[in-house]
Amino acid sequence: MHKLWVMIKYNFRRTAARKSFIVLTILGPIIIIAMAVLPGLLAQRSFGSVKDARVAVYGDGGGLADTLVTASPNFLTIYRTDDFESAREECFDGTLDGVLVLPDNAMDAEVLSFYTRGGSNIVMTETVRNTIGHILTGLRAAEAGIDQSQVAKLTAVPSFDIVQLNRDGGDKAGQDFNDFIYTAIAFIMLLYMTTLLYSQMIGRSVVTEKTSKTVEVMLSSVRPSTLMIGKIAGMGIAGIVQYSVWIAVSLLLMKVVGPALKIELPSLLSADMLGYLILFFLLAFFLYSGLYAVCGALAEDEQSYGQLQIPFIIPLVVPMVMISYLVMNPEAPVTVFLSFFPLTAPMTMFVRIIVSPPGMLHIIICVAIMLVTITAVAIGSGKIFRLAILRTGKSLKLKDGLKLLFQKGE
Amino acid sequence: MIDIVNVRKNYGKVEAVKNLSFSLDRGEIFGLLGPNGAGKSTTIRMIMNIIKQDSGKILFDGREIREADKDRIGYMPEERGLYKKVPVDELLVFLAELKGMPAAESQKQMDPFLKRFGLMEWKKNMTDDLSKGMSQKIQFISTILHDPDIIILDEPFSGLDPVSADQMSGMIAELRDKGKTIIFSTHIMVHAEQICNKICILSEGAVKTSGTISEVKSKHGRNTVVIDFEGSAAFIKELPFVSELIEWPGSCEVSLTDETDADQKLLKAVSEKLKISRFELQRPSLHKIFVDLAGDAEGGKHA
Repeated sequence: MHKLWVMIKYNFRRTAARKSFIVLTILGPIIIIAMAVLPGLLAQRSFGSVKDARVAVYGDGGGLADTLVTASPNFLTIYRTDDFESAREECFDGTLDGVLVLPDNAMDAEVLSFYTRGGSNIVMTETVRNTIGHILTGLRAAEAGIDQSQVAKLTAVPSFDIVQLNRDGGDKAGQDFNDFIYTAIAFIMLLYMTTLLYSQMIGRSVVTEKTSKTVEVMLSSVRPSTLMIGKIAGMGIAGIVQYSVWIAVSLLLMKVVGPALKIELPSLLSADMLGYLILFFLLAFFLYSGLYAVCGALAEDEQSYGQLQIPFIIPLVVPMVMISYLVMNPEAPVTVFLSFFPLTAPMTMFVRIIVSPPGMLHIIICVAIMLVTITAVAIGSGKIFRLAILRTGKSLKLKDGLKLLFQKGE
Repeated sequence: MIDIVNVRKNYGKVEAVKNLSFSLDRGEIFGLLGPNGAGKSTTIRMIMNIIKQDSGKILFDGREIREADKDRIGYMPEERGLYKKVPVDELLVFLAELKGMPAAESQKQMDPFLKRFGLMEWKKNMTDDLSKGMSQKIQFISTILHDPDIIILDEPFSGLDPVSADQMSGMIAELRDKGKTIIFSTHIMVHAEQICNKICILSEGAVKTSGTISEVKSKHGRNTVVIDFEGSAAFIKELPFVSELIEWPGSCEVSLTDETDADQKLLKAVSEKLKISRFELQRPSLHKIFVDLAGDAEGGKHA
């Protein structure tokens, strides 16, 4: 036990002393806050950026053009033009955002042409469309003898006060789905990146030990299992420390940043959600670090290590690639399956917890499956590691690793 | 202190070690000699309990070797390496701690060694800053820092300049005088002859010969003549009473057949063609015995 402790201490110290660890620990809270605050900030500020939009109207539109010029709101300057070609040029100069062409029957037209630069601001186009649509609706209503305020009342879309259901009770006020989804994706990205980063660090450290020929010195003092567990535990603790610093500093800063920017903090930044984040990071880390340690032991150099790890990157990437499907369909059979399949479970179950809490039973089953798998992988990878670590020469393949797994004796 | 009894080890169908037996006593420098692939590293790894033998026993003080015995052994493998980007003192403390020496104790003990090898000013440097020779000396210090009873050195002098090799050689002699048991694995027979009390020559996983240097030389003694000369000695190997010639610039070692008065015939033959400054009948060198036993092909590689 003493040697294991020495190994853990050493690996923790060496990981924490890396420049990349220090930089990431400092940058982490800033990234987390950016991820949590940015969507809300963007949602709050994005339409304000259209305040300087300038649109020219070409054609009289049966009197509609003059009405648009006088009724245009502050953020949108509309003026008439008789020269379409020069208005077109102004669009390319950037002095004009677009040209609206009004035919004589514009009041009854179902489609109006709006000329604008390619790749121009979608939000601006949408704002112009809504504004002109709103003015047109008012004019049509007046023509039909309906009071404008009555039209507004009839066409008003209610906003939603979202309440997130919780299977285990305690329904709570939620966020608007659009804000919420960005934060959720950001957290999944964080989980994915840290799992990949730390697990790969384990594998790379094993390869370095082999290529720098330090492994034999290590094995003259400790068992291969102690070497592997010490490495995983030492770096894992560094990961927990980094996460803890991130979360503690983030929560502290949020108390300052949120109120200062007058932004409502995402409900995801709750203690239980951050607890789940650490839990699923640990489950993913311990599973993948065992697998990557085996890749490191089988590899002869960095290049062969890169090839060996590909099969284990794929399941890690699957939830990332399917993120929008998982978020939109948190209870679909595929999502539920992926949340119980060990290699994809940590990320997918975390998505489910964020988007639509699946109930404690599903979470417990997922954690239990993960723990059983981690134990099996630890035993298997321990054996492969022991038999492969001292091999030199040709790099072994994963199928050679499987042969070693079922090999009898040493 | 260590007894290797009928040890066998196979890697798949390859017999790496075949029924190996030898013993080491306290205060002895034991040379484990042999060409590449002879089974030296496998034998050392079995002694270190890094790999398990298929059969036979490895006894430590009369009982089967245990994992805990690793703490009483210092091991410097042939393929050397240090962790990168670690301060030298931190690495030495870590490796000594793994052998059971408290950090404070190893901090205290490392200074005399560092001073002796002229590395004191490098104590706080990163291992990446060290030259190859310095790294090797640091690794040697890490091997002996925890004061082990048994020290295993695999090619400790390779890559060292003569001054550093002498420093290390002196240190090895001191360790022997303190009663440490040293297993010394090398290809360089001159080193083995200078340092070892006992040797064991392995080839293809089996013991070819073992005993004290004197015993081995007596066992494999044949008529050998060493000649220092001026001229070309190539013609000697064509002489009918010469079985082998090992030639260096200005000198050679000639093995004679059992023919009567072969040495006299050789003296007559060479004095006619060469200017001789030395003609000495002697026992064969360890190098010669090694080449004979390890086989010509392998011997050529290591000559």
